[in-house]
Amino acid sequence: MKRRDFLLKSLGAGVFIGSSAAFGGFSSVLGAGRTALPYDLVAVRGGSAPNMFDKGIAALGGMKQFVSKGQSVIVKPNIGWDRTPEMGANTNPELVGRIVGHCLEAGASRVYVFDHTCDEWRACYRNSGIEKAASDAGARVVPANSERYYQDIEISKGRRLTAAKEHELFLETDVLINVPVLKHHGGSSITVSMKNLMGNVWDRRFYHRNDLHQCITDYTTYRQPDLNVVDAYRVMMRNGPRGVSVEDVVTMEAQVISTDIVAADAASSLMFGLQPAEVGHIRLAEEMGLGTMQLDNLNISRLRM
Amino acid sequence: MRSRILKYSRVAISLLFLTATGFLFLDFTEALSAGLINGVTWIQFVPSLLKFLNVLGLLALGFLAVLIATLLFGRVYCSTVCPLGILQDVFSRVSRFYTTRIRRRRPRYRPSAPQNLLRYSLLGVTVAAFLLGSVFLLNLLDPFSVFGKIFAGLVRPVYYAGNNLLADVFQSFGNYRFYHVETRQMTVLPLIFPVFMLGLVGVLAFRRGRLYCNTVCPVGSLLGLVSKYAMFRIQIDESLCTRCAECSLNCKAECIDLKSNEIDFTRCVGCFNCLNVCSRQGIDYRNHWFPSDRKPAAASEPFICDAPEALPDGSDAKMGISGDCDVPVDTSEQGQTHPPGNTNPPENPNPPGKTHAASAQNGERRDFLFRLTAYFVGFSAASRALKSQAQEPGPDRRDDLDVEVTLPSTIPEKKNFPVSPPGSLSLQHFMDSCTACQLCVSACPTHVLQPSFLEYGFTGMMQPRLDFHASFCNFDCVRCTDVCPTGAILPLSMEQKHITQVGVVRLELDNCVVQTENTACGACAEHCPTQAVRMVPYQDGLTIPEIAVEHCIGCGACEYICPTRPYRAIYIDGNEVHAEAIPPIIEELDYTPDDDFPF
Repeated sequence: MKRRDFLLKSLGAGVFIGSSAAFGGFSSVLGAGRTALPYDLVAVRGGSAPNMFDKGIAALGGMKQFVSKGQSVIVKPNIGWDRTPEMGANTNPELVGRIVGHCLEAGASRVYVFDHTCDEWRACYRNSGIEKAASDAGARVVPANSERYYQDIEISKGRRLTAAKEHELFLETDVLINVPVLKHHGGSSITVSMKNLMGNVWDRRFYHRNDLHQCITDYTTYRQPDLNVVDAYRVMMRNGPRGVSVEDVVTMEAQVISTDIVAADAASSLMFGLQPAEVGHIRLAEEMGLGTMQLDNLNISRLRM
Repeated sequence: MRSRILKYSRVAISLLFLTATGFLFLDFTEALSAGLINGVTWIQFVPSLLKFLNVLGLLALGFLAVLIATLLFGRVYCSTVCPLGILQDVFSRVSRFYTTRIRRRRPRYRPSAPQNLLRYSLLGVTVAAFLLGSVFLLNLLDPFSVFGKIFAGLVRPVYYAGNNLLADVFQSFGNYRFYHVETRQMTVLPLIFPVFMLGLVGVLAFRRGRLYCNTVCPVGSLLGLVSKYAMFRIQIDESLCTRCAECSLNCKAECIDLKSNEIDFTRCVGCFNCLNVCSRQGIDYRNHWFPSDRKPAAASEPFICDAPEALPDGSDAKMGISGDCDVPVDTSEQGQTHPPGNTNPPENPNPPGKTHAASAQNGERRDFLFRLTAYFVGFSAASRALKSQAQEPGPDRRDDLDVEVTLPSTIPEKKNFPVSPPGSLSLQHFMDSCTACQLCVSACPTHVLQPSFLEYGFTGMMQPRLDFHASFCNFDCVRCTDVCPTGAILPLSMEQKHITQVGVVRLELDNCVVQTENTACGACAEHCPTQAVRMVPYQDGLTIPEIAVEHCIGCGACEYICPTRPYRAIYIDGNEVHAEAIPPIIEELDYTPDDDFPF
C-alpha cells in the first residue's frame, strides 16, 4: 500500500514535508473469483433496519460476495446532521453497526466509517448515534472535517465537476459500501445513494453553484460504490434534508440493496412516491450510462420479514 | 506567621490556576463541563462583579470573596488567581533565568516610588466610565479579559497548530486518533490589541516585575487600596533585619524601600518571595489586627525613616501597637543604638537614590504613555482606513469555497447590525456588559463566534460576534450562554435558544443561482433548522428559496452555505434587540402506510 506525495502541512510554519507513500485505490471486487450475484436488486420490507439487512444480504449470497479476507472497507453512511435517529436525517445507526459487523465477519482487515458533515461534525457523529454504534461493532470512526484529509482527484468523464477533493481514505481502501438514508431534499428532490456520495467530497458549495444534479452525477462517473444499501426504515417525507420535527418522518420499514446505484435510487424514489425521471440526477445518470432506472428489466428479489 | 509554606503554596495554587484558566481558552474538545468552567471563572474579580450586577445572582459573589481575602491577607488574589499576574510571574522567572544563567549577573529589582498619579487616574477613569455605563476600559484593562485575549487570540492558534501537526504525524501512519481543528475562521485584525498587550505586559514583567499590576491594572489599584488595611501585612522586623537588602532586591512589586524600611503594602502582590530569601526572619507576615503576644517588642516596632544609620532600639521605642508601615514614626532625631542583629550591615546594600529612580521612572512613564497614545492613534487611523476599504469585496480567507466563481453575483448585501450571541438580549446589553474575554470564542464548537474588529465600533473591539462567513450557529447548542463569565450572554435553555431570534434572514433572488443560472441549489433551505427558508416551485421543475422571517432565528446556516460570490443571495442582518421567533408550524403528515413494492 503506497501513498504518493503525502503532504504534511504545518499550519504555523507552513512547513511541507513530503513523504513517500502511495495509493492503491478500489480494486474491482466484482472481478475474478466471485460468483455472479443472484439478483440485481433486493428490496426488503417490514422489519427493523438491521434485520432487513441480514435477510437482504443473505439473498445476495452474504457479505463475502463483496468483501474478501484482508480487504479494507469504507462504510459511508449519511451523518450530515446534528439530529437524533428518530428524526430520520441520518442513516439508522443500528444498520450501520450491523453492516460493519458483516464486513468484519467476512474478514475485512479494517472498516472505516465517516462523513463530511453539514452541521458541526462531532455533534453529528455523537447525536446521530452512528459513532457509538459503528465503533461498538468494531469500525474505526474517523474525522472528515478538515480539508487536510482530502486529496485532489480528476473526474475525466465529468461534465461540470471535472476535479474535486476526495477523502484520502477512498484512495487507499478496497471496498466502498454506500449506506444512504432515503429522505426528502429541498434542493435535489430526494437524497439517496448518489447524493450521499457528496459527503465524500470537500467542497460541496461547488455542486450547488454549478448545477447540483449534474455534479452529483459527475462524481458518480468517477466512483461507483461496490454496494448500495438504502436505509428507508424511517423516511423524512418533507422539510428535508434536515427536517423540522418527527412529524416529518414516517416509519416505512424498507430497505433497498443493489450494486447498481441508479437502480437503487430509482427503486427508492418510487418508494418515496416520485417517478425516477422526476429526479434530475437519476435521469442524468441513466443518460450517462451509470446504471438503469428501468426496473422492469432487472432481476429483483422482493422480501418480506 | 512565618513559614516557607506560604510561598510554596502560592506557587502551587498559582500554577494550578494558570493551567486551568489557560486551558479554558485553548480547549477545543469540550473537555470541560460548563460547571467546571464557571467554577474557574467564579473568582475572577471583574467578570464576577459584572455578572453580579447583570443577573443580581447571589452565586456570582466571587468578587466579594476576593475583597474579603484581600482585607484579610492583602493582594494574594494577584499572585494566585489572576491569570495575567501569574503570566507576568512566568515572564519574571524567565527574566531571572536569563540574568543568572546567561548574563551571569545577580538578578535584582530596585525599589521604586509608586506611580500613584497614573494608577489612581486609570482606576478612577475606569470606575467612572463603568458607572456611566461603558465597559470599554474594562475591555482594555481587566486582567482576566486581557489574559483571555492573549491566550485565545495568540496562544490558541499555536495550540491548534501543534494539535494539527500531531494529527498530521499520526495521520501519516494511518491513525486518526487526533483530529484536525479548523483555523481558517480566525482573523488577524482583531489581534492587534492582544499583541500590543502581550508586548506591554511582557516587557514590563521582564524588566520590572509587577510594574504593570501596580501602574496600569485597575483591579490591582483597587485591591491595593483595600490591602492597605489588611489584617495580615508584611513588615520588617527592625530587631532582626540585617539590612542585607535581599528582600528588596527580590521584590517583584518593587515596594520594599530599605532606605525608609517601609513596605508599600498597596503594591505588595503577596508573592511571599521576600519571606523566603530573608536569612534571619527580618521580614515577616504578621497579623496587624490582633497582634501576637509572643513577640510584643517586634510587633510594636515602629518603622524608621530616612537615615539608615538611625535605627530604633527595639527595647525602648514602644509606640503602642501601631506597627503600621504606612505610619512611620520619625525617630531619626533620637539617639539610638544599633540593635544586636544589625551590627554587621552589608557593605553595599545599594538602595538607589530616590531622585535617580524617580527620573528614570518618569522617563518610563512618559515612554509608556507615549506608546499607549501612539497605539490608539495608530489603531483608529488604521481602523478608519480599513473600514473604508471594507466596502470593497475581496477574497475571504475564511471561505472554504476553493473554486473560482464563474458568474459573480451583483447585488451587495445590506446589513445594518452585527449579530450578537444568543442570550445577549440586545446589542446595548451585550456591548455594555462584555469585556471581550474571548471565553465564548474559545468554547464555541462551530467557531461561528469570532472577535469583532469594528463591527461594534471602536469601543466594542474584540467583543464577539457571529461571523457567518466563518461558520454558523448550531441549532442545538447553548455553549456560549453557559460559559460567559460576565453575564453579557445570559443562560438559555435549549427551548429558549430555539426561538431566540438574533437576526433575520434577507433574500436577494437576483443573486440566487436558481434564478441566475436556472440550476438546482437549495443549500440554504437544506441547512435551515426552522424552515424559515423553504424551497417553492419555480420553473422547469426547479425550486427556489422563499423566506418566512417570523420563523428565522438568525443562526446563519443559509448565509454560510450560500455558494454565490462575492455577494451572497441570502444573509442575516443582526437584530438590534433580540426577538422571539415563531416556532415552525408543524402539520400532520398525510401518509397512508403501504407495505407493497411499487416496482
